[in-house]
Amino acid sequence: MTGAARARLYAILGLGYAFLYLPIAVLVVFSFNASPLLTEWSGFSLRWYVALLDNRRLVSAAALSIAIAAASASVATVLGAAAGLALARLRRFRGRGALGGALAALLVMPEILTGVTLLLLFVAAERVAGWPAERGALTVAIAHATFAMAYVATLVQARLADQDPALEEAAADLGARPADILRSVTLPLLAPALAAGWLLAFTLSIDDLVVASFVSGPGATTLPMLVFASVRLGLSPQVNALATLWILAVALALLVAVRLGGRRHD
Amino acid sequence: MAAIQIERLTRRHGPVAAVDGVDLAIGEGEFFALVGPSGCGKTSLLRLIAGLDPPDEGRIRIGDLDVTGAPPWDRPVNTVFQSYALFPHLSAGDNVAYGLVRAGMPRSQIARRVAEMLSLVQLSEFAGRKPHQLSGGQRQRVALARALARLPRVLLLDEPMAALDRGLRDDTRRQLHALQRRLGITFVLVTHDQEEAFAVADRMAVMRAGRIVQLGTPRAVYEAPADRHVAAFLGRAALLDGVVLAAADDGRVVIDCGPLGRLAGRAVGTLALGQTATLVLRPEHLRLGAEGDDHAALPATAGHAAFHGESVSLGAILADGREIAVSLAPRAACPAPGAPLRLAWDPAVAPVVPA
Repeated sequence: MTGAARARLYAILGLGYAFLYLPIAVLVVFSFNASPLLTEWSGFSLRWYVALLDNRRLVSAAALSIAIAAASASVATVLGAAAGLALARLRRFRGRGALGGALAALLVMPEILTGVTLLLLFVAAERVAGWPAERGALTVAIAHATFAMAYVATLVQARLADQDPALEEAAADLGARPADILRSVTLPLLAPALAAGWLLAFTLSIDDLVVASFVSGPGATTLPMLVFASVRLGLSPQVNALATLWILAVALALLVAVRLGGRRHD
Repeated sequence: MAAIQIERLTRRHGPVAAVDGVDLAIGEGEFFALVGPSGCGKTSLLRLIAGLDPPDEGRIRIGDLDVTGAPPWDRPVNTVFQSYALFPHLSAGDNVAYGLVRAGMPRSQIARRVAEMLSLVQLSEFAGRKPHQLSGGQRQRVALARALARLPRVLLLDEPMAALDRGLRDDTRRQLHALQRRLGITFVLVTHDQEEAFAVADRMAVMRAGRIVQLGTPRAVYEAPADRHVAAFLGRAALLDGVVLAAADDGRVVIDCGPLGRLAGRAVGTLALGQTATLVLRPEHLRLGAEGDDHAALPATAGHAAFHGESVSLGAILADGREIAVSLAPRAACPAPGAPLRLAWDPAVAPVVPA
């Protein structure tokens, strides 16, 4: 390849990266801007990060979001692992096709539909069963666990699909009963996929605005909801600072998830 | 008492019977081989014995225990899997200990047994290694040690040498045979490689389409294949088809092979006049020479000779254009390609089998 052709390829690559990451780079740079104006650079400062920590509403919304994300990710991991195991290991059972289809549908369902249908479900459940009594953090966590479990199930199923089925047969052959096989062979081998699934579910939850807006109630404002509301009242550089921290956290979580997901024993 | 007693055992996959009404008794302490081409049902039969699949019909007894409906964890049987199926998250030592822990053996005794088993397969220094830190041959030996650790009544081996290099296979065969003799445990080996079965087995069963088509010692099966398929499967034989012309009381038969003429061999079973039959000519049966029985000789043209070290395999082209292999001593004079030959054999050793 000639030098000119190589330079052209790098230019195209650079354009691609710029298209993807320039907005984020601008946001990160301006989070360190001393000026309160979003468009004008007046020197380096950490004042917006300091202001962020003093913002009580923002800190409590962040705490709520993290709590919801942790709870929903944990529930989604347990349910998703069970669904993934059932799909990958039980060859034939009634409703197998329906379960697989339902999980795939959750992956591609527009968020707004998920939000509306879950809201209708919670309203109906309150009227019929009296539970959940009101919409708030609990309903958001349930909603997030619902769609995140589909992602976990997909991850688990994929991992099980390329795991030698003879491993579990060997365990049975060596005297282990099914519950023992699950504990001593299947789950240890799934651990990386489960950890990756938990982190993915956590990220999906902490990111979600649409579904949370539908199923949350008074007093339960998640971080994305608060940011969205405050942006409508005018942009503050605090949002840039918050977004920068957020990107950092999500990037770290994804990095860990990818490393765990890609880890192999052999 | 038989170690394994199988009666009318059947396993269906949809309309196809992978194992079709098999009756088989395997003796205590016997090294038994199940051989056949892929898809013949040998692995399916092994899985039924291990309890990994349930049979549709029939019974399996191990010793005096009826295990037909028993799950794998309740059978006095252990398996060496084709993929070895070593637990990747456990060390070699913990892999070997896995079955002992399940058997409720006390900890100190487990440590002793694991050390014993690893030294049995010459892997004592590798107890702490994870499977991915071991070579293919070492993994195979860990799998063997793990399956033997519980001292099963029967050890099942599913193509245990298929993933090994050729050079390693000969060694492994010899070790496996010595190990079986030393432990006295009944071994059932599944293989598609007849040489492997010949080398280690006391008796073998040749399977086809879910059925056992021949049962016997390797020598008996090799010398008297039950039919044309078995003959084709066992070794590089030339199969010459014809019609029985004459059958003598001493077993000598002459078959009419059309353009190849009338050829003589030794009947396997009883062959009726006019029946189609196949003369099995193995490379080691054939010699080059002018003398002898006219019905036990074929004219041919020399083809390519391949040097194998311990022998030379000469291709000989028959009148009908097909090429058959002749095994020559490595120092024997090798005819030049295109030279006319006369291939002769002793009709008392060349089997004639039903088509």
